Amino acid sequence: MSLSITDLSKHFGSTRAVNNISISLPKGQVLGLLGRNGAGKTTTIKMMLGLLQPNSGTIEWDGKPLSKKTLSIGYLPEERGLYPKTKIYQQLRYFGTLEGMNKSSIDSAIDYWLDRFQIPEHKHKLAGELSKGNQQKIQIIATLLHDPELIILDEPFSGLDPVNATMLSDVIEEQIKKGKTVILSSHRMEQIETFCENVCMMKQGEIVVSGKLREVKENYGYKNLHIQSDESLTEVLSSLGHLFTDKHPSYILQVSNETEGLSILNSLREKNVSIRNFSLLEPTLHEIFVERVK
Amino acid sequence: MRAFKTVFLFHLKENISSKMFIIMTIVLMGLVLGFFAFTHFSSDRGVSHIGVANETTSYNVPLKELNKKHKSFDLKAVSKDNIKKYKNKVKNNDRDGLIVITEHNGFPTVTYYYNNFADYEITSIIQQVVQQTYLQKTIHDKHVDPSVAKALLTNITVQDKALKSNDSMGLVYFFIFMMYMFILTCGQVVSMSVSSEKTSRVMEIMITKVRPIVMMYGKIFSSMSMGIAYIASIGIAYLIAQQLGWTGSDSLSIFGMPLDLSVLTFNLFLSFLVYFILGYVLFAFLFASLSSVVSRLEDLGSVIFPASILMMGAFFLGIRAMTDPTDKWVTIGSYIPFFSPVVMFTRIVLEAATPMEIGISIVILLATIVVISLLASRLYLNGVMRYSGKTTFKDVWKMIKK
Repeated sequence: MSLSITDLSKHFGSTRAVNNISISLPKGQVLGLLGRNGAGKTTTIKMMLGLLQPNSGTIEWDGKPLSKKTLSIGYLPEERGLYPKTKIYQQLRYFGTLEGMNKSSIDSAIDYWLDRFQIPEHKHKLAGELSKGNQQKIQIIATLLHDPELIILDEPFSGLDPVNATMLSDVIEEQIKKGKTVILSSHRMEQIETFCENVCMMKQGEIVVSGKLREVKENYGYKNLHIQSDESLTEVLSSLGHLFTDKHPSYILQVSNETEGLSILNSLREKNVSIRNFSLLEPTLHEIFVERVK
Repeated sequence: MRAFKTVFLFHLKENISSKMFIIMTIVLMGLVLGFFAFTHFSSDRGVSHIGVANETTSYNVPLKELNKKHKSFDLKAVSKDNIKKYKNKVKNNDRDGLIVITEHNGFPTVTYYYNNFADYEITSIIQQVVQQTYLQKTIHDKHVDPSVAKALLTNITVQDKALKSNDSMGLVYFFIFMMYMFILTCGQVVSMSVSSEKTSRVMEIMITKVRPIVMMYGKIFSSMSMGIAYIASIGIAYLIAQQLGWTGSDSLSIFGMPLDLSVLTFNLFLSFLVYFILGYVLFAFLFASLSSVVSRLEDLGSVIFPASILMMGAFFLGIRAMTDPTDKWVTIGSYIPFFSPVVMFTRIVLEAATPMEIGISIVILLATIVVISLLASRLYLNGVMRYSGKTTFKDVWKMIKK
């Protein structure tokens, strides 16, 4: 286990921003950190980066306190910014030097990443001259320039058009394949489902859901029974006493397990209902999120 | 140390490549060179051309002798017929003035015609000459005893011996103004740098790469280097003027205050540099830490206002010290750290401070810098990570105590 957060708490006066949370993340895996605004995600990240001191608890990497001195960390904050009147290569050199890189490795990394994000022509431009999307690419480059071991991305896709979002997805994939440990904080559930093996949902400073994404879904407590029929099933399903969502010709019912699903299917057959399609699916991350953190 | 060096060099490069720095350096050098050039060249052309129309026969004015003795004016005899013509010349600025000497009932009258500005040196000299002639004439007419006449005509000598020279007054004013301007300008550069870094959200990236305190020190010292560069540019301009031979004029002055460059010694320059650096560092801590709590650039002015007021207070107390360096409030002010850079320096230039007093003021200043730096570091650390609406001074105090 690489990243280990144990009984972490942070209070601001009487406000409990983070209350006794514990998170484990093996090296080379991806964690999706979810929660509404003010849930405590950013406070947790800032404690990991050493920007805030916890009131109690520990944050360790390989059994030692997590520190920038012992681990290279790349952080893309939610609120983005660059020096508007400074040339791109100058500020990337500045960021790289602060991360302990030497001039030649910085320059080659700058060229690599500008090519990778297809914006080499912006190297000598002022940041203020770039579009919002391209500025965001530069910020992502600043996060990855020093090839960090632990990458923390806070809402990385916001402000990117679909083409650039796909490009960033590819870059994140590459980093995961390279064995980098990634923490992804986002409100976009589809991205979390794409990249993250692990999820952690926070609400009012506490963890409400945590674990392997697959296990979380499997053991969440219900499954979604999707039924498609050309007939109206409203009356029949009501008579069975199940709550359902009516989106004719589709009907979605929450069932506790496969047996209950099959039982409903049999009941419909007994009533000679013609069923076009039938599937039993796990709840989506979006559903879990809405239910658990609302 | 490596992080400090990186931050320092980055901001130094930003500062000295900024338009503001380039323009201000050129303007400062231009002002210094322009001042000396103007004084040098205008002193050669500053001869006043005055006409003297003597309508009397008794009161002879020795024009040639006076012209020989005084280089600042050129007196020329004007005949009675040409008085009107010469007055028009004065009116049209072709000549600088006309003196008409008339006599009524044996009593002389001197009338001085000029356009806008009178040259009282000339009237005073002419008056003396006429007065002497009038006295001699009266003594002669009234048959006064020669020994009494001799006694009456003897000039009383007034010896002007200042115990303390005020020739350095102009220099003091110049240095006070420079100190005030550079501390305020460089302090505000730090303020703008901190607040724009925060409002543009670069701070979010930066605080993960370098400790906020290192950032603050890097900015403060890079801005200080900019201030020293300004001072150096003034020094270079002065040396250029000196090489060109423009600094030798006896009549140098700023706003009517004499500017004696002979008091401009290395020690004086060194003490200016020491007090500038100490004063700047003290105020820069205030500017940097107060600016760190600002979330919007438009709030910056109100937050740094107290620090600016302190600096203005130092300036005005410095002006008071110029006229009375031993005043009670000036003496007290020269030990108060926020005022001492300006006030004690003024006392040093006016030779009104002992080495012991200078030492005590520097020790107090250094101790205050240490205390303020600790408080500023705490405020900066908590301030840069705080994004909210308006910040009150109650919030600032809470952040210091955190």
